[in-house]
Amino acid sequence: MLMPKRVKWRRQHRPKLSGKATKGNKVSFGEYGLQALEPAWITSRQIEAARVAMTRYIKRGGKVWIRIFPDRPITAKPAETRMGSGKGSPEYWVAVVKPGRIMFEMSGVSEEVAREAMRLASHKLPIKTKFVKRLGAGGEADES
Amino acid sequence: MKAMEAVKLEAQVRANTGKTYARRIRKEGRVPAILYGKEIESKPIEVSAKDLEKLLVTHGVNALVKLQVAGEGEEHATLIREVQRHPVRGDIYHVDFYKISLKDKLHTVVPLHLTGEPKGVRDGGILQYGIKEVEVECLPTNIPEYFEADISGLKIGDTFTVGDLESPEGVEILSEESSIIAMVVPPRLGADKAKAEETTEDAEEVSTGESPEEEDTE
Repeated sequence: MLMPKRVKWRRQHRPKLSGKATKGNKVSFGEYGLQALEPAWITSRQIEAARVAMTRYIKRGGKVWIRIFPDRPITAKPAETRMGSGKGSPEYWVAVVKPGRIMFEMSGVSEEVAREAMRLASHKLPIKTKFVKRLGAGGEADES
Repeated sequence: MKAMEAVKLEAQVRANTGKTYARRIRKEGRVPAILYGKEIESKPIEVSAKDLEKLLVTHGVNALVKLQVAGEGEEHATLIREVQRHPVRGDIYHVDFYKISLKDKLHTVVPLHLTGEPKGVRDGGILQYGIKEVEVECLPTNIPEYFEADISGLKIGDTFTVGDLESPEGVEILSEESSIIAMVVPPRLGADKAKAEETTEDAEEVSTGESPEEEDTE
């Protein structure tokens, strides 16, 4: 699973989810992409599950890019603990995803295969997503 | 590889500037734009969103646009410098038109179209892509719409580079000759079968997400 190798501070504030993705909102590496339509914290487990779903479907011949990285630690207190006594311990890592963010990209496969692989991957994510294609004008086209 | 045709686009001078006016004209189906260049003062204009989207879909961002501003006699030969889009919906927010001289050479990028199925792929190899655009220098009237790269002859282990492209007359390719456009790599066989069984990771993966600034642990 993806996580930082080393971090300066083990515990951070909770990440904010406001606004739209101002960067990482274009298909830059591959031909097809999966774009987030809602804001969410995407955990490293969800990213891994989506990646496995995609790569299992395309088998070989394609190339997959993961455009998000879970670099924010989320802490939690143990069950049945009284309040106080400081912040809990880091439990998992999340990537902050805002609407418009291209989370995964793919190339080297036909559009139908990419569409189906992205559909399977989207079922592993907690948000609504859209399948997008690279366009000459640097924008993305439509659907799903 | 025919040269790009000039496309006509009508525009009006923008009566007002500012976000309130820009939002209003976007609602009415027009896009705020700017026209500038070496010999002219920059001029805020507006164009039809429908016509502009059609132009971008059919001719791409490299099109030579003959911009006819209402109330002005002459047409402006322009290139599209920047297209700003909404991050989620993808509708066009703003466009930059750069006025060019038809007599001076310019630098631009031309997209690549790959044709044919490589021989190596039929033999079980995997096709990998490199660059998708090539930088060229030419007169505005000679800008190719795209470069066609016939990769059907590639065997396993072969590469198709910029040096293999044929450039039309009057067009100089500036990208490095050794830049790879496409290559066929051998399939990964049996070596990590056990690993493959667990996750079936034959497809190549790259993580491009930004990792944080890493220093000492707490």
